Amino acid sequence: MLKIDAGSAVPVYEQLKRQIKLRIVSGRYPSDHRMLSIRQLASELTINPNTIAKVYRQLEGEGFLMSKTGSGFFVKLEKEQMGTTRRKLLAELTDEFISRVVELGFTPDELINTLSEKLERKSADDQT
Amino acid sequence: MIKLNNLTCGYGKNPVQSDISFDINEGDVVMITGPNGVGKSTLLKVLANILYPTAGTIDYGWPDTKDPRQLIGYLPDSLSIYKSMKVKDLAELHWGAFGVKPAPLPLLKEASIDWNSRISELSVGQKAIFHLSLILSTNPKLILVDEILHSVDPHLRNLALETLVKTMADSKPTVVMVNLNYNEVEHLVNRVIFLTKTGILLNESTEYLLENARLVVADEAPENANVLATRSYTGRTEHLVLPGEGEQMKLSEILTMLMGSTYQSV
Repeated sequence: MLKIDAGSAVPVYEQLKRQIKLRIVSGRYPSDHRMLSIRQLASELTINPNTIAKVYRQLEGEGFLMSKTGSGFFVKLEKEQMGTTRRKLLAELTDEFISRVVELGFTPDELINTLSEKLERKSADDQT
Repeated sequence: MIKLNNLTCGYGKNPVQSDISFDINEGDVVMITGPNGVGKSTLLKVLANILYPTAGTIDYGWPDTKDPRQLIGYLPDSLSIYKSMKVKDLAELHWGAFGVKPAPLPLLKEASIDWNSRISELSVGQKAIFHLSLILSTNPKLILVDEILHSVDPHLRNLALETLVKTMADSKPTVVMVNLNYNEVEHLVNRVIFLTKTGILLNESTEYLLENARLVVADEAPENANVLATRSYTGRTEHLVLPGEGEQMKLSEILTMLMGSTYQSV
């Protein structure tokens, strides 16, 4: 189920948009997957139904969802679109991460060293 | 649109609020909040048309309705409903008074409320759920919810909120709630009215607040910014600016800060 990070100052519609996009590009929501109705998702998350409607409409505008009159919203993502969207999401997540690291006062070198150490360890773990 | 014009309300000679005016847009979900004793519940009763203002008027914008109460569902803070009556008798009384056909009340089963129980046998939470079901069964255009849900256990409170959201999605009523738990309703409301003893301190859309309210930690209030409130908190001084530069805040943080602050004059 989609979740709201209660501690985050990121507006809830941004959080939801991000989560749904991630699920679509990671394949968890395949093409033609039927999204929960606005009513259902709003009541599960205790969110104003207008907010959910806004999220779905924006995702429709960005080409992630399509609405079918009377039957709700469905995932729509062309294979060709997948690559660009994935790269865009990676860039967004990285930007966010970098600005937090900079806020904490770390230098680019410290960041790069930590990153490569972590990645090396991860690939070693994955091989065993 | 509901228009409240120059309302003065309260009991006896000392009004709790004098000469306040604001509008409520159709379909809005409004939270009225503020410290104890500033007349939030009184204002809600006035909105419910069960307490008349000592001055001023309310225009509900329902020209074809003789008695606005037909279109209002009001959940008061204490439920003084007839204790010795049975659930089904009270439901029938309610439907009779509203001139509507009996409707199934699916919430009752989920809250384990027996159709033949006496009201006095129900828990506080069950009473609140029963009352909410009755209110929603008449399909009100204006739903008013006082603090009652505070005293309801988490399971039933969740059920009540879920039901409220579904109603919002289905029939798009206007909803005004008083002082519910900020964390629980911060994504539900799209407008906040903060009342103080001297009137309305804040009447803004949630969207505007989230985009513009910022937290500034500094001994001196920042210049060139509209400082709405100031508080001392764990040894530091915090200012709420609207608008201004500073840390982003959640709606619940903005309201919690207002509750524990000294305000700039309205």
